[in-house]
Amino acid sequence: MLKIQDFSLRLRATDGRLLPVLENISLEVPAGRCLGIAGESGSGKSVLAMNIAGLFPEAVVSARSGQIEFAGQTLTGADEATWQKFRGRRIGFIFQEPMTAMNPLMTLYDQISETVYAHEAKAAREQVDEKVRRALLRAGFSDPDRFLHSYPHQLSGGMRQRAMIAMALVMEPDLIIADEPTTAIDAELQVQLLAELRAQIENEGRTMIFISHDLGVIRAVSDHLAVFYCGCLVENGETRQILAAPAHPYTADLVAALPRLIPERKLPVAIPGSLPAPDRKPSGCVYSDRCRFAQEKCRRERPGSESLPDGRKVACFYPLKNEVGSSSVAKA
Amino acid sequence: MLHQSENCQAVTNPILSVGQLRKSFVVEDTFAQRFRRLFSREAASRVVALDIQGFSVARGETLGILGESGSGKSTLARVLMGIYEADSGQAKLAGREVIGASGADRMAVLRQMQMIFQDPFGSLDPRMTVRQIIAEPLKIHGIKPEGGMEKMLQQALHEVGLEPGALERYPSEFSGGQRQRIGICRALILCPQLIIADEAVSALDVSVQAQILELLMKLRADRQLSLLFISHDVAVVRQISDRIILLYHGHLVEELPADKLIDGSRHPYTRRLLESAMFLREGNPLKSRMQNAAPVFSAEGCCYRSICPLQTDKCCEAPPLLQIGEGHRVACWHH
Ligand SMILES: Nc1ncnc2c1ncn2[C@@H]1O[C@H](COP(=O)(O)OP(=O)(O)OP(=O)(O)O)[C@@H](O)[C@H]1O
Ligand SMILES: Nc1ncnc2c1ncn2[C@@H]1O[C@H](COP(=O)(O)OP(=O)(O)OP(=O)(O)O)[C@@H](O)[C@H]1O
Ligand code: SF4
Ligand SMILES: [Mg+2]
Ligand SMILES: [Mg+2]
Repeated sequence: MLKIQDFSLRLRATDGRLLPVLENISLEVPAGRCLGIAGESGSGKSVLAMNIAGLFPEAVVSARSGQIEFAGQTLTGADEATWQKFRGRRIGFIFQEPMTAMNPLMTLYDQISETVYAHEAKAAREQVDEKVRRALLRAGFSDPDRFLHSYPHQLSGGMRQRAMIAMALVMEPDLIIADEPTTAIDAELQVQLLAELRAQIENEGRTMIFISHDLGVIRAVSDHLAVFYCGCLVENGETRQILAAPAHPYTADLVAALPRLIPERKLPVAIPGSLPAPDRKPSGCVYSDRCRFAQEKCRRERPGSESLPDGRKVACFYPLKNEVGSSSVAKA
Repeated sequence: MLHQSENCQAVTNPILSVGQLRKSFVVEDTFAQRFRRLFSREAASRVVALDIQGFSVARGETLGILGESGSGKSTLARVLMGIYEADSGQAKLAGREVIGASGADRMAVLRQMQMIFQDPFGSLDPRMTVRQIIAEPLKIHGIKPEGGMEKMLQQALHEVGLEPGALERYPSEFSGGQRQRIGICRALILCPQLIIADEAVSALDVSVQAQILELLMKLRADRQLSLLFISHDVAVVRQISDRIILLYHGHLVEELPADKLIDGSRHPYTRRLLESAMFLREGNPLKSRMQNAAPVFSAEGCCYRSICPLQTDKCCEAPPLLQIGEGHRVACWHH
């Protein structure tokens, strides 16, 4: 069980500006379940993920409050020794940008086996080989031997992403945090990988956080969904319910922006405007300057998170009663 | 090969015409094996990453390239950009040979053909400010913008939806999506005629993705910009492209108008890719659960035959890329 309670984070940018990148985030993910996180680029998804895994650069943090807890252990404020134990073995992290997370001078085999040796210094070579192969197979390399001795630049973009997945899975961690793990992978392989990740969490009772802007992928892999906008949690609840009938106007716009295969040759509907910088958020509702339904009140006050009858939580004064924008990802 | 009718039909006035093109890589093996090879003269084994028959892109046209991970899409882009040296083949950009171009020829080619990369990180120098990054191509090509540098940069930034303050900041201060916009901005600054976009919108969230697609469509209309749009995302490619080619294991297996993709595509690989895409995007059920068997590739026969449901003895012979309809070519015996 992963518990995030009232977590807030403020950063200090290089020019000295203070950026409130996360505000009062509360989320829970039970074991054996997957939480999907969606939201516009820059809304703070990766920052949250890195904070859960203790990977965020402390130097830029100006203030942090709230708590993150996994399997009964408090992670916020843990010392480096605790993190060392947790990372890799209990928490597997799949990075958004494979090229920065991989060492360009090390072969695939060396990088993946390094993680194993970090936790089991005296592991026998055959055992390590076996683990590396299994992880690569799970990550969708149908012929791992062919690529064991390749360097990152010799792999295609999708292969690098799969290599990252293999690295995160090799120690069979209890908590898998996947930050946009399939953006460079074709639909066919995506379907396979998502099925593999699903099987892992269901069969082994693992917990997963899956960050993606692709609501189609989120629907295929997650049980719960948290929608972020500008550092705030605007809607969360069961994935199916939310996608069938988004209640927050931002969620509805996000659904409408998804590229589709049918309704003939129509471009997805872009959301006009852009995400404000973290220090220029509207003082009322964070979405009020782009929202189609914004009223006077929305620009004045920040809506709190309210529960709807079906159990989900929405931070909006005028949640959609549906039909609006709901047709898009609805099926399933 | 280049101007033979069967390779380049349907496109009049092409900006880019690619002939037969081939690129292979040495298979990386252990150090010991490499060491042994030094003395034994045994040739290293090679994999063919790209072996295509040729296609062209018309002025103002968007050609989509689809294919699974590792099918050779980026290799094709890099061979065209001169980043990789082709084993053999030719390609002409506005009449000028691209493959093997060097020195001043290459500079001239690069002014007209720019690339947007798959990995925004690898292509942005972390020690340069956004201003330096965007202005760099102008400097390299010795261009002085008419209304002054500052105005040009501000405009370019605005075009891709970044705030003016971004100029003085470093790439690490931006989120993944914002960084990709910087890359797009840099590619546009030289006003090229052809842009090769390699997974340019894959890392962007859907709302920004939609904006960038709109932007690319607008540029295309305003500037007669041609686009080689590479992506693994079937929905995006279908929406933005006029025509689409499909690569499988380095081979061009199908070429067709974008409108025909969903209902009219005929290659078994294309059909299979579509089924997965329809599941992810439209929630359609998966009919045939794909076997997870690893494909086996041999130099002879159809590249898809080891996992093809339609495969017969005939497929041990490589199928030709046959024209089966207006602008529609397929390489499959049983299409
Ligand atoms: N090291 C850092 N220093 C300063 N600001 C940062 C840093 N890392 C992130 N930010 C800022 O924090 C905000 C959230 O960024 P984050 O990377 O979490 O976005 P994201 O939701 O993951 O977006 P994307 O979908 O593009 O990956 C952004 O405004 C970003 O500019
Ligand atoms: N520099 C290189 N050295 C050796 N092999 C390479 C190199 N670059 C690419 N390859 C190989 O060529 C094949 C095609 O790779 P390419 O990057 O073109 O695929 P892609 O279609 O772009 O895939 P993706 O969708 O995953 O980006 C792969 O098998 C890859 O391992
Ligand atoms: S609170 Fe108002 S502005 Fe915010 S999402 Fe709801 S309707 Fe729109
Ligand atoms: Mg991110
Ligand atoms: Mg690629």
